[in-house]
Amino acid sequence: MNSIRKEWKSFRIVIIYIIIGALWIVFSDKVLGYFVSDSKTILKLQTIKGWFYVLSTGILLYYLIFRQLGKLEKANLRLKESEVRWASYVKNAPNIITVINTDLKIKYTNRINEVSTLDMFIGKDINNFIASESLLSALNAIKRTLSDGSINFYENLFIDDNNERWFTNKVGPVVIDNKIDSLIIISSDITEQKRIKEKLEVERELQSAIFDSIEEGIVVCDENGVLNRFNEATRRFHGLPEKPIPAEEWSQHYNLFFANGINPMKKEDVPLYRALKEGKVSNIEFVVKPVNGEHLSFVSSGKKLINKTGDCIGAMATMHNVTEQKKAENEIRDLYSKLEQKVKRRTEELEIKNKKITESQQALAFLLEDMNESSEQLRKTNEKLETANKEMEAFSYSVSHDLRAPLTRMAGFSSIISELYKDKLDEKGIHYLNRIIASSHKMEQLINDILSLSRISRQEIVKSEVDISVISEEIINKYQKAEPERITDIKIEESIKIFCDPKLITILLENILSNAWKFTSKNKKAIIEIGKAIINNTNVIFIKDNGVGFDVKYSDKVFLPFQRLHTESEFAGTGIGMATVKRIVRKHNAQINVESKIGRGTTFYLTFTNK
Amino acid sequence: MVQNKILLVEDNEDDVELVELALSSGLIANQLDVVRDGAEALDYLRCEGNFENRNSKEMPALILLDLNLPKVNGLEVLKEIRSNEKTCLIPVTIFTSSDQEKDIVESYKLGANSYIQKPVDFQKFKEAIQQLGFYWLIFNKKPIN
Repeated sequence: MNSIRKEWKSFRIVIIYIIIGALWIVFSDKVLGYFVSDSKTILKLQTIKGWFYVLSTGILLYYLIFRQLGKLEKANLRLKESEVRWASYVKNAPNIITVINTDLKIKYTNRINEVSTLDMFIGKDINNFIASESLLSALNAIKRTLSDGSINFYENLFIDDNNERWFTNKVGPVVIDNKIDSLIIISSDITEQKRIKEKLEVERELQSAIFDSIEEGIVVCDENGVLNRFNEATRRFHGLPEKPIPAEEWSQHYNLFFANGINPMKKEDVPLYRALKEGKVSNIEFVVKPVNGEHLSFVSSGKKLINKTGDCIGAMATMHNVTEQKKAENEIRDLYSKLEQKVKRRTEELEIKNKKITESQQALAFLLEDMNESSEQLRKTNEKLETANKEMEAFSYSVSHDLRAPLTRMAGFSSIISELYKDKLDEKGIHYLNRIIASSHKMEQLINDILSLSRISRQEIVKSEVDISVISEEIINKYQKAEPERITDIKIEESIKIFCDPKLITILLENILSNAWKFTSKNKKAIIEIGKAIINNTNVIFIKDNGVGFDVKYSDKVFLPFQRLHTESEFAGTGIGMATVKRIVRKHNAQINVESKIGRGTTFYLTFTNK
Repeated sequence: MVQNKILLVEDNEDDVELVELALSSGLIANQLDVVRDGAEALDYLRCEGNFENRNSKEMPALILLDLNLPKVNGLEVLKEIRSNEKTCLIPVTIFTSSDQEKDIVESYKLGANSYIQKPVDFQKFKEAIQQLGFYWLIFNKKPIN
């Protein structure tokens, strides 16, 4: 177009010149004919006119040529400058610019440095500089540009000095005279971008893994309040399917309610949206009811999300599942109300009882007054008892000392008479003297027994495990030694152990066994048996003899002091032994029973507690 | 034989007589010195009062001590005997009608060598006195100084 216009322009100038020239030739002579009629002058003038024409067109031509030449020169200069500038641009361009011919051979590249020279590229096939992985896509793009002149892109991997570098390439046609002369490929190094992208990818994966592993629900929306992220826990809470579904479909799977689980929540009441609008919300209770699932209770807190430049980019809210807690709370509330009812009922009952108690208390107060009087009396009685105890002790002492001393003398002098003055007494005198001696022995026995009884009453008991079989055996052995002529059958069960005071139990056994020994003395063969038995589910120890026995109607009297069931001439004794036994039994909180039949023998049953 | 002397501390005349009788019927004839109460016993041992002229080197080989004594009682006499350097080694036998546990324990605590309750039976009484004599005066070994 440009060149046509230029041609036309030049052509027009020539035509104008021809017209003006022709008009000059035709009309100048005619005009001259009007003014000058002299032919000579006309000839002269015509010559001058011819010279003038030549001169003026010469000047015009000069001017035109001069100007055009100047313009040409300037244009050439500018072109040269532009070429240099463009070469510099291309050379220094941050991108790699490669020009290839239509046969895909490299025509030019700016990829030259200390290592690579232009010779290494020029005339080489572009295929040599594309890694095989990206060759296909590169050739496709290049072919497309070649065929339709469109601009195409491809990515390729370039391994340079063992460095993997990624490039993105733009292929465009260089069109000259409406024909694709060559192709220009502009390559940008995107290795860093790629690395950053990969890093970002990893980061994003980590983030979403963390996001999904949190047991608390987390929901995020964008600045317009459109839900765009749910973590795994939230997906579960809301009953969303396993497979990902678009955010706009989420709300079809659940309904939201206020904490009572009845009133539905509008969008503007949802904690996440409130966080977006209000900037911050905390501890809002609400209920999520998945379409196919149980309703769950949550406590939610949220915050508006602000980027570095201070713009709102959305909001997030956490959801803490409090369903179990709520259930427990409800149970507690139920229990509490039941309890309250119970308490109320009990309180009423108690009030009634209280009334009764108040009445009883009044009665008690009167009773207490009486009791105070009684305890005063008791105190006085105790005092008396203490005095009596002291008197008893003094009495025991005088019995043992003051009564014994004269007895010793009586017996002593009587013995001396019967020894030294035997010859001077007749048989009767000796008999009386012996009676005195016997009586004094009897009295000594009595004193000893009384002392023993009072001593037992005062003695503290110290319990331990005692083998009464061993003790009984020793006692019987002693009796057998004293009267070896007696025929006896003694059966003592082995290892009868009870928890008792060993000293007192020895006294007890001595008393019972001495009776058994004594009351079997008239038998041909005395049988004494000691053993264990279970009577009425209770462990008892029995001491059985086949002696004279006694009438069962006196069995209450057996344990009374000075109470005897036999005459002195039948069996000697003081009547204190069994009273002593009873006292020892009482001191142990034990029990003693007796069974007896005249002529058949007597059995004592002892029941001891374990402790 | 100074060593064979027995000192009997006894307020009752009858008991003194019985002890004398018991000793006299035995095989060993011991010299028996008798004092009637605790104070007199201490005078005897210290050679004071009525016993001023007693040879202070002649100490009894055995003291038979009753507990129930007028003025100074038997336990006090025993305490005094044991606390005096001159008499502390003399064997003392308590010879009394009491068999109270506390008397027995107290006597031993104060250093009695034995405790005998006067037997009512005179045969046993005699045996006790004679055996005491045998044991303490014949068998028992005493320090010379």
